[in-house]
Amino acid sequence: MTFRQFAFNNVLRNKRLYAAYFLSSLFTVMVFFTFAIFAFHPAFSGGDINSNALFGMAVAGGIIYIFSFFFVLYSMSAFLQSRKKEFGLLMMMGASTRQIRLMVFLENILIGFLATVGGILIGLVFAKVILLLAENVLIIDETLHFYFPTLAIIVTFVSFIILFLVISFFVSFILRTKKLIDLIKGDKQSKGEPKASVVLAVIAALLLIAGYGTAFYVKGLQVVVAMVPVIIVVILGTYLLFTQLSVYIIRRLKQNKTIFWQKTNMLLFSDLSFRMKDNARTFFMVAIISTVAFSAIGTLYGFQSYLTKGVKESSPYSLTYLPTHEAHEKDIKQDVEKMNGILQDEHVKTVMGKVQLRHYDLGINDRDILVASASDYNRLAKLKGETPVHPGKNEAIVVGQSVRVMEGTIEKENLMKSPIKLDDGQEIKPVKKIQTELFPIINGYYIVDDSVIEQLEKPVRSEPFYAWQADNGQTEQMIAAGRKISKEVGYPAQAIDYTVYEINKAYGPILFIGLFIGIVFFVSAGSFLYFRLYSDLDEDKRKFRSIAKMGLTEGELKKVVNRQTALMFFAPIVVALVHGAVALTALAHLFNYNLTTEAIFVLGGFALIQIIYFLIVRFFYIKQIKAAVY
Amino acid sequence: MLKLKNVGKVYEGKVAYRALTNIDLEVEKGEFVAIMGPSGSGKTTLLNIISTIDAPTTGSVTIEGKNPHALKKNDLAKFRRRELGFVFQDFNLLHTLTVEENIVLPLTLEGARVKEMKEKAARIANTLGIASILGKRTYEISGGQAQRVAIARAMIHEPKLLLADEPTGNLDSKASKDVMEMLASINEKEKTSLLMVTHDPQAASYSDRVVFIRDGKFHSEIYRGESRQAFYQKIIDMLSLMGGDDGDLSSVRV
Repeated sequence: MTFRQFAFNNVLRNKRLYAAYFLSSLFTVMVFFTFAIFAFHPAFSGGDINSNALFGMAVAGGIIYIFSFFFVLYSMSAFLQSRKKEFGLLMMMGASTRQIRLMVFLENILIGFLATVGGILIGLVFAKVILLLAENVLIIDETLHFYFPTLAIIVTFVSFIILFLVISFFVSFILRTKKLIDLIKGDKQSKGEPKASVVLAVIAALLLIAGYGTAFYVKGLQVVVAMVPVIIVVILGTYLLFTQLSVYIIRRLKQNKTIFWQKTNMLLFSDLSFRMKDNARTFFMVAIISTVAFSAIGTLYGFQSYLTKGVKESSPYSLTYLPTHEAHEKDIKQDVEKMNGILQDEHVKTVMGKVQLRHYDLGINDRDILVASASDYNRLAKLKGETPVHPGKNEAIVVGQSVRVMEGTIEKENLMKSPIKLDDGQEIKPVKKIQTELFPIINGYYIVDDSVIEQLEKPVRSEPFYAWQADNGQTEQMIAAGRKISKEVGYPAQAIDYTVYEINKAYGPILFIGLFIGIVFFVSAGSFLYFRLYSDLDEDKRKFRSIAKMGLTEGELKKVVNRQTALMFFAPIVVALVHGAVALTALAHLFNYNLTTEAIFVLGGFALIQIIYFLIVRFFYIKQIKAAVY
Repeated sequence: MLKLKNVGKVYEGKVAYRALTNIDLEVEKGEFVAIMGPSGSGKTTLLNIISTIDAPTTGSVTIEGKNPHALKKNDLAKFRRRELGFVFQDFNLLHTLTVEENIVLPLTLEGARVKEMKEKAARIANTLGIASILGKRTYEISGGQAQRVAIARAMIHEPKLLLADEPTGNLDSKASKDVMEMLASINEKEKTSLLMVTHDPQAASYSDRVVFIRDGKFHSEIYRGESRQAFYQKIIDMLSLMGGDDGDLSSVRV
């Protein structure tokens, strides 16, 4: 047995110990590779996606790579910590530090190589699934066919071999040789509770309250300014929350004998405090990483809904046509005929309505104001199925400013207080105010009886507005028609389904990348928890075996393990969910747009995934412990 | 060959704890010395200091004229690898390796040739009666066998000093007897100096000299005369004198 054989045998014959580290490396490689398959797809180099999206993908690839680096580094150091005793033993037999480093280095190269190859192979198997998924999230005209990703394989392979090499060199730092006696007794020493001070616990609470308070308080562009300080404060607060506040609470619980000595509580709490130092660090990391994932995905999803909803609100019709002021009547007529022709070609059933937008100088609010005839208004109202209005001969109905108007541009003078003065001295009094988006006008306007229009002087400007409303369930046809119309008629015509489609198409890659990174973060947070749990498995087995001898029923065992795992899985996630909710609220304030539905959808989705993950892991964990105990 | 002068050890902490005070000890070449004492008397601390696992607070340790605690890290590794052998109470075999691989591990670290390692392993396995289990993994063998494997591992590189920490602590009386006879014969044939920490008067009676320590201080020592039986009786008497019962030394706890 040469030294190299020794190092290799050590890995190959001790699969279970290495499994967690290997799997996390494998997972990282797989994620990066699937991303590479997607990013290097020939359909993109063809140029359907703009250079911004490609740049975004490069950045995303970089983020995933850097994250992988730290993730693998963390997994490895956790793994090496659990092998202290082995290193101590080898050193007792005269292994020099250099030899131990060499051994770990060789192990890493072996694991790294296998993980890289394995990750690529598994990635290949799932490639088609990923491409299909990408096809649906991204709106791409051509399908993403399966291809053999030579370039992706090379890039992944080279990147990760380099990564593992670099990390192997890092081993020297992790293996700072401590005293031999500490190494040998390493597995018997508890890291125990971190010091808990009341002051720091209070500071933790204060930092979180301050961070949250600021996030809720700031509005509009202040959000951008406040963002970085709030993030720092909240991160600090979270760290102290887990290292101080939680320790403090557990201490208090342990001091209270009626709670601590209550049945299985003693087992649970003593265990918690025993592992608190490790747990606190894991909890903190998981909470922060999950928060990043939640916020990133929530932001992107919210932003998409903000964009598409904005478009849909600004124009409630399937198709609109608003010619420019200079357009000749002949051209307008031609355009409208063209559009009707296209709609017919695409077999879209529509109802058309035409109105005249007449603006008058009424001496109110320093601008020309639209005065619409009741019959025009009612025509559009009929298209959208809204209630028609019937103003009296000398009455006007005021339509308020659109809800889309930004704060700060709210009109100084309320139209309700300004009657329309006719030439003959007669006054048309506003009688009521309604809110509607039927006309493509964001400022307030009047609706009057048709007879009043004739009495008004010549309008300052007047242009026609055409609106088509398609029957429900014709989105596909409308997108097709919209594409043709935008080509042949151009800007004055807007088909809403097509516009939304275009926005989604442009936004798709960003959303996809965001989702991808978010999921990577979330899953790795999950695997941190998994490591934490499984590094305690042997200890738990030993503990429960000895307790079972004293008489612990299966039900009681389940209860203790259940609570222990539940706390582990949900303590950091609940914190992350709250952080995420606050972050999304701040974002909603920035855009002055209600994100509640989106936030509930995203955060609820993650919570659900976490619950399922918890149930699965708990099932296997309890099964393993039971197998060892009973 | 081993010389301890004024060795003391203080564990720092909230309350500093003095584990050893002014220990002087000398072991001749080829001598077999047992160290006995109640629990908490500092036996294992003393052994750890000699084996360079732990450093003394005061005093000096010299092995063959060299002070291992003054060596640089790499030289210390080489020193351990060449001059020292260890046997532990809980064997400390690497469960990833086979019996044979465990035995040759010190040579592997030294970078010896495979052929030479094979030969040496076969020879020592024959001597210790474990030739038939060389291909097995550590979890497939009994405690007595495991301790013999550990002794083989400690002996394969022909160290000058063999250190044993409760080598019979986890074994039944039959296995204990086998292991002790083996250690005694190695000591006799190879002229390896042997230093053993033990609770077990039976095990201690195989040595040439028993050193008793108590509360971290040297208490007394007795030499073996002609008969092992008489020596055993003397050890028992000394233990009773120190305050323990015949078989139970744990009444003095610190």
